Amino acid sequence: MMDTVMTPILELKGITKKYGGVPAVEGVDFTLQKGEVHALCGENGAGKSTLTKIMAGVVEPTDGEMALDGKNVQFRNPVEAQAEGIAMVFQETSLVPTMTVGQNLYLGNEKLFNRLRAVYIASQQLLQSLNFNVDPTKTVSELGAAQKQMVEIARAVLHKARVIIFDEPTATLTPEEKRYFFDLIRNLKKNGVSIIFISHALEEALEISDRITIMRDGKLIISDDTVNFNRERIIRAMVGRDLSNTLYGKKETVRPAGKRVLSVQNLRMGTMVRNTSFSVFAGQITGVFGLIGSGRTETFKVVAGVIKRDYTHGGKVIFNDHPVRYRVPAPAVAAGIAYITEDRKVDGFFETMSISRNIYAGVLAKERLERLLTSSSEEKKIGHDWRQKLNIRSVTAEASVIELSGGNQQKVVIAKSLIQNPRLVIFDEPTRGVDVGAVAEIHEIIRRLADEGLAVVVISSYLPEVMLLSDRILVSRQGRIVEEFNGLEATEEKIMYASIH
Amino acid sequence: MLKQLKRARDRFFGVGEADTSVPVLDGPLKPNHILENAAVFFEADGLEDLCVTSDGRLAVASGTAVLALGEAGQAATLATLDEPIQALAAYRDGLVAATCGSLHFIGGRLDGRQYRLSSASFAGCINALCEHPDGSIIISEGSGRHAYEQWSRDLLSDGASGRVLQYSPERDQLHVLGQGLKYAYGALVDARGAVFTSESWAHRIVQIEQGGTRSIYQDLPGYPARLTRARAGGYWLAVFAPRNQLIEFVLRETGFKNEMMAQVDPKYWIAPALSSGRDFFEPMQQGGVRQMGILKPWAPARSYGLVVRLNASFEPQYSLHSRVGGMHHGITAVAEFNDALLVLSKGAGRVLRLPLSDIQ
Repeated sequence: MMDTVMTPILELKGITKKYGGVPAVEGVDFTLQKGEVHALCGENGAGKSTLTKIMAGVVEPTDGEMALDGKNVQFRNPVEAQAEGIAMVFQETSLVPTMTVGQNLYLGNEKLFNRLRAVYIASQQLLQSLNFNVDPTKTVSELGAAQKQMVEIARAVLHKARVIIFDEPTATLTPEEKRYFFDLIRNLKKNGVSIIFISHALEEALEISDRITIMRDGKLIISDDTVNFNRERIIRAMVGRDLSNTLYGKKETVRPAGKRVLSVQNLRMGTMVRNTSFSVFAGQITGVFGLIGSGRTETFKVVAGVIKRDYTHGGKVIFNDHPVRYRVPAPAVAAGIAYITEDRKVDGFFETMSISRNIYAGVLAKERLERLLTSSSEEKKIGHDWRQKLNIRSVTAEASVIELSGGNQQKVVIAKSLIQNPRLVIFDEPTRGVDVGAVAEIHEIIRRLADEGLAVVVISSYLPEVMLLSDRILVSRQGRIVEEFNGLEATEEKIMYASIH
Repeated sequence: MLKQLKRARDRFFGVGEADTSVPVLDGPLKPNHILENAAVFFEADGLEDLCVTSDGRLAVASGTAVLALGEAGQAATLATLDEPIQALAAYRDGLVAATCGSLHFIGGRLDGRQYRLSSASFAGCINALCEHPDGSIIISEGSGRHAYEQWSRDLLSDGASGRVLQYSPERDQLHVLGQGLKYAYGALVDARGAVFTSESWAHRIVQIEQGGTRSIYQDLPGYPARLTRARAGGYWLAVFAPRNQLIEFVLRETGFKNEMMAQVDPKYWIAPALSSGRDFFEPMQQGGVRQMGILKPWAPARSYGLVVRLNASFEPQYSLHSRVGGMHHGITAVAEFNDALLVLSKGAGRVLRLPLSDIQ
């Protein structure tokens, strides 16, 4: 293990950051040793992101000191931090979507004459050395979320960073990619790189890190070696209460199937969805599990009219006993299909608008042709009602959605869809980038919807979540639903087996 | 003209009529082996229908005979008719059986009475009977063009001549409740007196209403047959054959269908069947379906065994299956008898017994 007498590579003393007088981070002392993997846990809004952004020079602290190798430093922007060897891989990717992978990797470091062929060859070598299967000539917009993450990581490695900060790196990775990623972290560690690792998946923190620091409400609660931790202790420290039984406990009953609300037959969409057939029933939660790229999201996007199926022999979608073919989402919304996106930052909300306005936009989208005027008093009332109903927390009522934490943003997206009175609600990765406390609340919302008799679909890559929520589990592989389990009989092994073989 | 243009468009895009997709067996219809592993209660050739009489005896129609079955499966002949029996139902204190064109009353007050339906029916394709609370008999007639045993010809020729009739023995009067049905197969009256039937070729259950039909449960993955009321509320539905994409495709190829019907022995038609796998001349035997003599589990089914438990609003609750390669296929009738479910597999010529406590 690390020699603790050694000067830490990075040391923070009494760091405070205030936004408009409200402290996001308050008096935090934090040390990072050389070659250490340090996990940073805490609910969303606990101040983890702010703290790491201070380290990476994205934001400047209001108060406190930061020392790198024992010398005081002050970063005014990320470039300065990067020059000192501190790189951050962000939760939301910061790649240029129209450029290729290779160009993104070398962005800002180009030679006067930028020869793309050399860039691609170097990128290919780099990516392969990291065991990332990404084609450097592809444009970033073509990549999936996991692959984008890989490019980001590769970029940090390329910049020969001494400290790499990962903000939720594994949220978008498949279990297999996760293995690669952990191997990569171990490799980096062997080469003396220090790693700060923000994660909501506690198993990961326990598995990979040497030390765990837990934050709550902007304060550092506890910082200790990983061996002294277990799940329960982390959760207790994170939320100040015991949650482990409400989250990921064992379930004893499943809801019986009601009326068949959705029947998909032989649906095809390009190479992603291949002749998939399944049904969704009212009054129960249908979990859809599958590795990334198994066509889960695409299938349900076709159902919701976000993307179109094949023009010829594209199959049938029967919603409430009527064959439907939505070319745009609006008629699907009007018919009562709500698709709650996995990528809320892009598709989920208007980030600069207030919570109320975002939710009101859901009403306007549903009643497009029925109203001429919008009403700001109605908007306020709706915003107020739903903030209470879903317990959306924000500093002020008029806060714009971008200022909220991931969990609260997700709740806004959910409220925006639920206000449309859907009959089929499709949650795509509902708890991605959401903290533990909010996960429990969102799960409760999902359960309540099923109890109210709605047909609920939950697409998730996180097995414990699928198993906990679902009354019925569908497993998707290579563009089709290959297996169905009852919520009680399913085990992790069975589901994983079905999704891989 | 417009119809033809639409058909051409559908064929090109593979939508509408040209879409051969079939709903999958999932949710409450998720396959299991309950029916295949069920105990055999009675075995005979030509089993057709079964019912429980008002005094609690189990009656089975087998060929031309009506048999009463005891608790252990021993048979006693109740009556023998001149023609094969096509449907059997309890009626007041006795039974009523249908042959091609006549109703025969067996036992009870009306014992020995007969009613000829030939004036009302062209082909005599009566396939289910049921007593109405007002004392009449509800009769389902699959086809007006084809005889009962020629049901697959009716399917392949897009039959839509089924009817639901009501016969009152008191007034000796026959009355048409619904017509133009795509093979009515099953007669059911609920507690409020509403009449239901399975419309087999339309894969649905319909309620017969004044001047029309209303779809109650549609898009079944098989061809539904007779319906029975369950004692605990809700209904039992027998599904006698499965749908599959090959057959759906053949059904849309009129030229091929007609040629097949004209030239090929009906046993070997590409059509649903009550049992399969007994003859190597049958379609769907080769290639990926059967390798090294073993039928693959994903092989398209030509015959299947399926019983669906429906709740009071005709939503499926759970189901009993005999899958591809199994024996107990071609289920045509179901009855509850002494805390057990008796399932008649016409394909296997067996009556199966399943304790109700085991399957709920």
